Amino acid sequence: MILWEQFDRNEWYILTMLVISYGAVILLPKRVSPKLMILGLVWGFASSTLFDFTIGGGLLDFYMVNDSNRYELTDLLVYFLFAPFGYFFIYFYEAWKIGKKTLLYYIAGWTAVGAVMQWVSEWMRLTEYQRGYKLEYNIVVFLIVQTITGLFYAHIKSRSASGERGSHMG
Amino acid sequence: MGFVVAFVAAWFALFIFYGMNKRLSIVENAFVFLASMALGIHLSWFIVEEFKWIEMTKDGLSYAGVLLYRIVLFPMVFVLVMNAVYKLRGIAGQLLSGVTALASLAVLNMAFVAYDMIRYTKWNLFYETLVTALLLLIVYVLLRGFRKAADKRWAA
Repeated sequence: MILWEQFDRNEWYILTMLVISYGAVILLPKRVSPKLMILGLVWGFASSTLFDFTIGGGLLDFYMVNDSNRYELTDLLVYFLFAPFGYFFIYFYEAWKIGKKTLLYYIAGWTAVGAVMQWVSEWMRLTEYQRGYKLEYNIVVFLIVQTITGLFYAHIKSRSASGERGSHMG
Repeated sequence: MGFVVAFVAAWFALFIFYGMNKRLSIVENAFVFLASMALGIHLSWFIVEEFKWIEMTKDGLSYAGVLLYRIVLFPMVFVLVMNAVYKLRGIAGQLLSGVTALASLAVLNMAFVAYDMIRYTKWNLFYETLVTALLLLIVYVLLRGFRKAADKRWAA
């Protein structure tokens, strides 16, 4: 493991985004329980890890994160950067009272945000696509992750509402 | 054949989870699954890609089997163990559930080696089991912390 190949724009971008996103996590009014907040953070971290190490590495190796294919400390920071977005998804789901009829628009909105963020990430040289992978393919990834997240959260809420043991929202 | 072994094992683990009397809530089960998956992936990345202690197959289907193990089976076994630990009162039973899980994962790893899905270069089954046991302990500690957070409310 190396710290970074060279400390330049992508590292500055990660650090700036970390400060902004975790600042928002701390400063936003609390709408969800601590338990769901933690789950949201772990969800964001785990889903980004899952996709980066399956399609972004190994046999497929569709993109390079940061300056090299080696594991950099800043790679780990990238996964911590994704963590707040798992929380934000749940947070605004509650804030905007998303339901069955609005979930589609909500996911579409987050996918658009994700696509813009990926475009910025490519411009900041955080991600470099290879082996024919294109920026727009990320839309599929976002749709998969956010649909599963949205449906799973709706499932937790419905179980909580029906008062099943153990599915309390905290 | 290696892919089939991984698939059947993953399917079996999912069905055990489906049928078992779960002691953790859906949120806690999701937490254990995600935490153990993320930790397992990062750890295997170090072992395989950084240190090259294990060589992975270049065959697409066998590789898919390894991925299935890494992202479904491995975390699912952790979920099963954590549910068993909270179900069983005695320490002996809790330890036995952990040992059973470690033995099951070791047998699967032996099958993966036998089917040329992975090849140990500077690694062996003992290290694999030791690291998995350590991960089980870490996830258990994380789960205890997570359950404590469930009782908390934000300060007004």
